[in-house]
Amino acid sequence: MSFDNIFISCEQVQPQIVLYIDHELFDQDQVSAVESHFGECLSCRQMKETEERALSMMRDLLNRTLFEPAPQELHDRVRQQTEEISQQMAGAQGGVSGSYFYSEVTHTEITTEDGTQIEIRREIHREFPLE
Amino acid sequence: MSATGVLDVVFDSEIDLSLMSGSDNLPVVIDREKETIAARTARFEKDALAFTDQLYNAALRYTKNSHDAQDLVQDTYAKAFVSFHQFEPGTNLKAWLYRILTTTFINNYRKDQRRPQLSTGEVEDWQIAKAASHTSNEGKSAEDEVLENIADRDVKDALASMPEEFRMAVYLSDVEGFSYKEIAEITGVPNGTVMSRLHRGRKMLREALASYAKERGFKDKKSGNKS
Repeated sequence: MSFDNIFISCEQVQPQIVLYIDHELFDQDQVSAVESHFGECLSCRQMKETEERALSMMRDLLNRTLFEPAPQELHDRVRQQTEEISQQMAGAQGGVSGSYFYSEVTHTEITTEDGTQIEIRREIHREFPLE
Repeated sequence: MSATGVLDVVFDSEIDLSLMSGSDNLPVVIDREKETIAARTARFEKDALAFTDQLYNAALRYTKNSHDAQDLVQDTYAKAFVSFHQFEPGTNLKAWLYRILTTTFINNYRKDQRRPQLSTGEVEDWQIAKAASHTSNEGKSAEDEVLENIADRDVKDALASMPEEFRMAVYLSDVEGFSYKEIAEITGVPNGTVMSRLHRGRKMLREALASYAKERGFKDKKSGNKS
């Protein structure tokens, strides 16, 4: 690397701070230049540290608060659907073409104050045509 | 035509599944031409269904409700399974599934809420620089305040309030850990657009969180004075 390339200005470094933190600078010379600038420029180094800290806090916060496990019903539905489509595929190997579909039946039970139960059945067919 | 020839179709022409890049190219010895449907099903159940929780969480952030999120994940897995023979084993399965999820969401789950997509000036360098410098100048105490006062619900609400393209970019990067290039492939936009959306999205999220935190801090103080 030439000696000149090591020195870049604050104006050149600042737009790259986020890219540096995100590991999105792929040119090794560029990474070296930015790092050597951080070594010499307190202001840019502090900017980088502040940004790094803020980003890691935000990521921690997002990861700590957002996660919800998928309902068991969804795991079951997906497994059942995979088996259904798999069987249709096995049938299609015999030369039958058409479309894949899966069906879904849901029960909803509503208990009102009087204790009356209403049951709703919902049947959904989704088709995925072969082109 | 091979025995599986009837299945060698492009399932959804809107998704070019061959475009995904691999990040973990391990040597894999699966001959997909000779693989039976039963073997492929077992492989799909073992490898792809392991992402159900993760896809459901992304779907929740996309659709903002559990019912649609579950339907979206189910549709995603139907498409993924039908196209699974096109997926190259050993390449990035997680990104491949996220691309199907995202494309399915864009094509099928937001049709009723047509909203003009941001398109002009998204990739301007000066905006990236501006977003980067702004986020850097927002001060440490504000961040600390956010952590002290923020509630789980606030984080969800803050994300939900952001325009879709920014919400997706932030979620895919800061929760899922995808690279800019992977996000570009998942969302079908150029790298520069991802960069711009991500930096501006983070800024929006920080501002929203700071405002929730401020509100809560103020309320706490108020109730503290009363007691």
